[in-house]
Amino acid sequence: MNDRADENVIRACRQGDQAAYAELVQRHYRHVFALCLGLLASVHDAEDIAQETMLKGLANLRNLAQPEQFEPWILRIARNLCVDLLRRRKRAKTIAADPETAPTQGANENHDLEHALRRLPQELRLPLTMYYFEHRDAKSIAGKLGVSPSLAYQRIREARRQLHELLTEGGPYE
Amino acid sequence: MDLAAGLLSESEAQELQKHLNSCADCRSLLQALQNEENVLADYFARLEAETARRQERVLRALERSSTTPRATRSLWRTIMTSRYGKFGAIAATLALAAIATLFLSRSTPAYALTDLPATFDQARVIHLRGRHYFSSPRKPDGAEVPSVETNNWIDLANHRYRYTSLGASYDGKGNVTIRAMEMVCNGPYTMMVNPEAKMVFYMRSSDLNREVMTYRLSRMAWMELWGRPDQLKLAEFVKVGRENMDGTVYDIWQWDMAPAAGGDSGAPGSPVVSPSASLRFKLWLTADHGRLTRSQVWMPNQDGQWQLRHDYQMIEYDVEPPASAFALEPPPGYAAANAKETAPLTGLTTSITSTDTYEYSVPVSFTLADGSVVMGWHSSGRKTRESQEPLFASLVFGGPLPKLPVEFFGLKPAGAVNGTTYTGYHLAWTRKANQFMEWGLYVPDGAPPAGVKLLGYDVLCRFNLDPQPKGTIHMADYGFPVGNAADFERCVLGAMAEFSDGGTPPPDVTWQKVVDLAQKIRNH
Repeated sequence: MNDRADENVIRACRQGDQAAYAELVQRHYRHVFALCLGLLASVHDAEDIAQETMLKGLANLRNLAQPEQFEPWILRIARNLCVDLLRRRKRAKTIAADPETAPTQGANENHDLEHALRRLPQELRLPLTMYYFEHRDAKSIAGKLGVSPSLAYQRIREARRQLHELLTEGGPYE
Repeated sequence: MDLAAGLLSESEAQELQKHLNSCADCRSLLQALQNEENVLADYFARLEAETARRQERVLRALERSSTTPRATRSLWRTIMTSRYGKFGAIAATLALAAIATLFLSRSTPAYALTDLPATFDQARVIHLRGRHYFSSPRKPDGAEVPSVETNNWIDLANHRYRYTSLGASYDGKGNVTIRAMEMVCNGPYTMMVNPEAKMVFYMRSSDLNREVMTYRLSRMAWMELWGRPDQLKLAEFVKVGRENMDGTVYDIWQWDMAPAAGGDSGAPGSPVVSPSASLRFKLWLTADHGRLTRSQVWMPNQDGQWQLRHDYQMIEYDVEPPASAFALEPPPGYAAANAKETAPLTGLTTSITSTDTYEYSVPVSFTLADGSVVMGWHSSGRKTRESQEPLFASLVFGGPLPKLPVEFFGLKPAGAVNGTTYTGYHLAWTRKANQFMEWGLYVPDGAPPAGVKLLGYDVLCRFNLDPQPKGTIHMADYGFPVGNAADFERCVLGAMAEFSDGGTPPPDVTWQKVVDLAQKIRNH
């Protein structure tokens, strides 16, 4: 990632060129969406929170002390918004009413996969999403998660193992 | 598990492979895991393909968040400084609220038009009921050609459809006759309804033909509504009004398409742009969720006045079709030309295009999960009766395509949005009643554009004829989606079997071999 280019874009935004922020969206949206998807397990929720994140990023750009750290900063915003959403859901106990827990009319053949992904623990789903959606290797995932590469490997393996069990409805895997 | 997910080192993979060579159970498990890998990869690839749409939605939200209601402020200032300001406070507040609501509703819809293609693509049932108008040319007595109503249902989940195709014939003197042929497909039978003859004719369809045809009609339904996806600029629509019908509020959006360079003439039922005409599109979307419910296409007449051409008064997705939608009984007053029991069996359609020197057909194409395409095609010279077998004799799997008179060497996404080219490689050939069919694998050299599922593919061809014919061939297909090994066996191998004398596909073509070949070509 070209941090210096981010810095220049942020400087332009702060000088009133809000259209320059679109460039930051195009560079970072994918990573924000991937993080939200990994944390929330719902494409719709991830879209909403990712959008809210980018809007909040623009509104709070003046508070970013180190423009070269835009990516970790915007990902922190995303993570916090995801946590807030999950806390609200837990308090409201709306899981039973969540339309995404039930098959919808028009559901495609990936419904089983989506359901299985949702059932994975967050700590496994997130590295799995980074691996398949962002095409990151284990070392890069380790860096993003702040864990060792071997632990990142273990989590991806365990995620695939549990996903296999969920997709085969508990069939034995040795 | 790690082998399937690509997480092993080379030495670990080799050691595991040695075990697999002698353990059928583990090979079977590996196949299942690799199938899961393909499903996972396909799922995330589809999410990836939607990234541009999501980003655009964010950019629109950013744009709306930075808009300031100048008109509202100036009006407020006017009210508060007028001599009647105090007395008119309540009325002014109400007026302000109404204006703010109107302005906000214009600039901050709760949806984005650019979501329409994805919504359409994900629909499993599509219902279009509309009326089609023909203002010119006119009937021999000068009267307008009567409008025609169509009521099309496409049920992708159950591979059944009710679809009216419109055709026009011209007598060379400017007079036109509109023909509407309705097809109703339900289960193994298709009923062709001819309103001119008040007659129906039954056919039996192969399962594969039904499945492919239903998919093709779903793509054609898009073309019916809006023409070519690459010509439609959804981001340029502007909101021109609102309607309240039966308690539901609809936003009305409009876009005038400028004349395009090149293109087909506007045949009935297909609003494709002609070089000298422009089109006006109007869409009705529910104000709360942006659900598309009505669509109109207008064209200017000779006097430059806009005239309604297509009015799709009802557009529905994923509703339960009524039982009568796919009924196979002849309409009242119609006779049956044959019985279902004796209906002829039809497979994948082979519509052959002929010129003086060559003929060709492209009956079917399939898009694999990784974006590559398997396409079956045939071509031969009109002036030769020699067998084509020598042209196929030395071909190898993954090698060059045969040098047939018309050689479809590649594909491009229709409209060629980002320059991706698909290069063709030979997979197999089949033969049925002296017609040789080439089956090629077309691998993209870049990421296919997100819209390729609606756009389809344009074929690239060269002529291996002497002398070279003039002109080129324009044709396209949609690429029936094939997501996994089971789909591949049913659809791709099923198609190969249909075009084979023995009714069986070539023995050495498998999903895994084709996927591995595509990967190898991409990595080369």
